[in-house]
Amino acid sequence: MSAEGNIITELFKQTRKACDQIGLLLRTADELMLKKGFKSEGNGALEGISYSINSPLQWVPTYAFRFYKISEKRIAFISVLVDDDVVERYYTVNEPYVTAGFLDFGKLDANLNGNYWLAKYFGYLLKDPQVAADGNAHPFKNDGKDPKLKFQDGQVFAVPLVSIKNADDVKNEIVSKLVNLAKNG
Amino acid sequence: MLQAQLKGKLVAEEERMEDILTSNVFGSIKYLKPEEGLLPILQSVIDINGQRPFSSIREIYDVHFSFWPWLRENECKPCEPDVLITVRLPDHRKIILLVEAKYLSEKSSEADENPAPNDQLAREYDNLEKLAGSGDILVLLYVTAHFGYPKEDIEESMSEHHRKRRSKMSVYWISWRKIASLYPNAKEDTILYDLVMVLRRMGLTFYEGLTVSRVPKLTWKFKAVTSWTWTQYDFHPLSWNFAANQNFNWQHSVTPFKWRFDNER
Repeated sequence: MSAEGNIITELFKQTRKACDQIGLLLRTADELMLKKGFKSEGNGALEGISYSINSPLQWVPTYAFRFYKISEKRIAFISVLVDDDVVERYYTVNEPYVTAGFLDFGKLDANLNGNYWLAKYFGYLLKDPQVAADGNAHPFKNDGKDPKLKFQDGQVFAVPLVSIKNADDVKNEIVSKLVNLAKNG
Repeated sequence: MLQAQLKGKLVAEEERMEDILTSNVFGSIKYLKPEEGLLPILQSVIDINGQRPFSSIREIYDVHFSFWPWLRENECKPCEPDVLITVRLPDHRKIILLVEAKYLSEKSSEADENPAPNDQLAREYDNLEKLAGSGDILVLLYVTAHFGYPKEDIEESMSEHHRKRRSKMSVYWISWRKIASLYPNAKEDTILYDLVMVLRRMGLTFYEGLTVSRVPKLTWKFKAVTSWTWTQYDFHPLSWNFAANQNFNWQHSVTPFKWRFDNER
């Protein structure tokens, strides 16, 4: 067995292990959100991955997410950004973040229309040097360029993934803050 | 079975069998002192309000395990819960604990309109009530891989039981995911340590933070295009051409057939 070969195998094993833990984190968040009265939408957690020979960079996910309907006009999300925006290259990340926020649809009924990528909105805000993964909420608005996007505005906060070590951290640092933000923000 | 599973001798289908999981967990703790094996589980079970009613128990006087007992009490539908555990406490109280374990499957029966409860948990509790003596503490323990109290499952059962028996079921729950964390000090080369390893191998834990070890920088690269020499084509004109004049015969003929289904026998 060559050392380099072993590194490659180890790389994939570690990636899978990280996916397993991130899955547990998101399922814990689902359960805690359910206790607050907000049921997660479906079982989907990934978007933007590809099975195609032409898109190998997309064989590995760059983020995972869960969405929750807060009210008729608001949808909340929790996501984990693990890598750069490899396809559109709108942002890069130096470490993984857990992000949480909500989308407000104003007078319209809340409907994502399959735009799950909105769960990585924090990544787009990272270009602003004032934005940091410090738990503070950052507001954003829909610029209206894409007519398919119906949300009006929203807010999102993030913390480094490695700072979330157990279910209590998920509850205190993510879910409680998110529910408070989504209800009152 | 623990060793076979730790060494990867079971196929995935076998690993997913809830009877094997039940046997691994409750079969292992059967051979341990109750304070080491069963008590941490009993202390951690929660009720529908999220309370831990047995958390104050510190000692068990005596315990007896019966695996997959067949229960058929008077006026009850028969059932086969996974484990029947009789626990005697030092103050002479007795806990009759019936374990119903689920891993990837749902309850095996639902409520119906017959006089006796039919929903799997309701049916088991019905038998448990008749089986227990007066003064015994009844515990129906539902063990699943959920992340939180499976309220919907349990409320369905309670509803049927209450409708037919007019009494309230005492249903408690613990997740398989909790078990490994109950034995943080399990020493290597003990059955408890191996049990924890099996549960971890099955991914039956809660989120415990990322502990990914450092992976050295990968230097290997697939050199896909370095040997191309495009100039070759300048000196060697392409000689291949499609031999279109070969005798391909794409014409096809259809031979009429005479088969008919003869239904006039």
